[in-house]
Amino acid sequence: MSSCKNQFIMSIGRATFQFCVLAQPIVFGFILGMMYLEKSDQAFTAYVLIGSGIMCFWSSICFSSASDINRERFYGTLENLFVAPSGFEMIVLGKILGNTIWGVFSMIVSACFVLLFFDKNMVVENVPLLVFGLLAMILSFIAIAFMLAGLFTLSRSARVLMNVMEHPINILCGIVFPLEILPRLVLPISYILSPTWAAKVIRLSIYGGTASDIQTSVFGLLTITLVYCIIAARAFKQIDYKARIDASLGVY
Amino acid sequence: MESVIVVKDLMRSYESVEGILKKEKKQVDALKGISFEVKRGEIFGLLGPNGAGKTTTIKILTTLLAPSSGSAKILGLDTFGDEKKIRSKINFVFGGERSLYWRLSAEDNLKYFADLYLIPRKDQAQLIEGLLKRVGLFEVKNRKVESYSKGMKQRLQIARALLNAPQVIFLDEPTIGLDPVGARDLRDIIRQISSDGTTVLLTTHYMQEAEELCDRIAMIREGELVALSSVDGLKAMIDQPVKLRVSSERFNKLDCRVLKNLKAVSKVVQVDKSNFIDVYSAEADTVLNEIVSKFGRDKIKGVQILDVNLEDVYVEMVGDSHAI
Repeated sequence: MSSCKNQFIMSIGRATFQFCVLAQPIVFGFILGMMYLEKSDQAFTAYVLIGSGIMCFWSSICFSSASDINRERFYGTLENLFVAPSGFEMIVLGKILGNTIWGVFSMIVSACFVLLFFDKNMVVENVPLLVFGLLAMILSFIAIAFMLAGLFTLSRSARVLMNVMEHPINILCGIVFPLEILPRLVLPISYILSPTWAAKVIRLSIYGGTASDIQTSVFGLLTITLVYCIIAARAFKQIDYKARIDASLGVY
Repeated sequence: MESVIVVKDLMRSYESVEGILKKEKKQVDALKGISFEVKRGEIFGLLGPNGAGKTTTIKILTTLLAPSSGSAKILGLDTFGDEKKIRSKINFVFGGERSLYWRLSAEDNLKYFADLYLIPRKDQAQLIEGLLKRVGLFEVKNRKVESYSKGMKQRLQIARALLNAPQVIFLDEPTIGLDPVGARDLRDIIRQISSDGTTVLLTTHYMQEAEELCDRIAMIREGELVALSSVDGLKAMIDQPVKLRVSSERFNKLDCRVLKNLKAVSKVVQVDKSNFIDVYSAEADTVLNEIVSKFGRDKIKGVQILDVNLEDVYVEMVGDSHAI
């Protein structure tokens, strides 16, 4: 919890992060709102109200949780965290939770802006499913951040990933437009990314769907999130050994 | 006395990649099989030039790096294998201003690290207050670390490293870049830590500091241990008990060569590119007479006869780029 609190305070002190959680939700909400202004209420709800929120949440996870390891390396504190008796993986998880709170805040900012600025009806067919979808999506992003943090601890070169993965995720996962318009070739990539399934569940809650569709999407989301958790847990088990062999902790 | 650190035939190699298009992997041997022991309560110095392997040794001992071969034990536990048992019993400070959160206050930094070291919340306030007072930062505990001077940051790092009351503390160039007063304050703190019974392993480039603080010193050169003893023991290792410091503004390279060729002179070193030249000899009186008769008052402003210090031993053992 201390790591979570510390991260919560530290993150918002950075100008880039302030932009991510305060200004970006408004920018995303406005752009998507204008794009979907003439579309149905359901499409507006799915891709503007929820879509812009997910985009903001992903940005805060991507630019904070994923790159926090490199930031700690830069501060010279990574080695202190690595050997702390409370456990490196718990510290990293705490940091991710700290950022998650800001991510949720940015979703709320985005939703408030969209609701206040655009005169559109918001339609949700299945509210409990929407709540479940949003919670599951948050959980899946936490799992992704945890997995990336492990990767970043082991490899300095992995930080290149951070800068190129923000928008591809938004596109590949069907967060701001339907997956169906993407080329078939890239769909397999979409389906191994948990936000794709989370976005599906959320859309089903808005448009409605058959029990079978809902079950398939929920199952896909939970399975992939579980796979991410297993990969992350395994990575962190390896980290204590491999990072000391490769001497990757103190070098920025 | 019990040895709390036991290092045996410790080796560590790194792989470095050279070239951009045609990449070539090269092996760098940072440690080539060093062995030493540190007794409980000692202040043990590790000296050597940049790249000698001091930091690598400390990183292996602090469980941050795996050895390529050999063993390093702290309190009887292997640093690569028993690291989880060791980590709560040791702590470290790496030189420079990093290893702190600059956007947090000193107190918040210590609270955070106290949590990470699983120190119960009820004990934290008193512990942190005591440590802040000890390092002289209590009055400014609420100021953000980014507004601190380098010396204050270094002292805060020491406070952080004392949070878990470590049995062994590793200080890697803790006074680097500090002004003389800041460095003196930090040396006082290190002495206090040692007087409390904590074993200190220290690396430094400042010979006077090592001479003042360390009970024993190990000198490393290119990954190999070249000397290990007390300060007096190290001084006794070199042949020349005295040196003559010649002051002259007019000495040229030829004069230096003449100096070196004098009978009984073993080495001539220009002091930090200054007008001082140190002449090492076992027969100081004879050499003094020869210098005066060879160069006279025209060239020599003065000659001092000095005892050798740790820096002379270091230069002898590790080598000196200013040797003429």
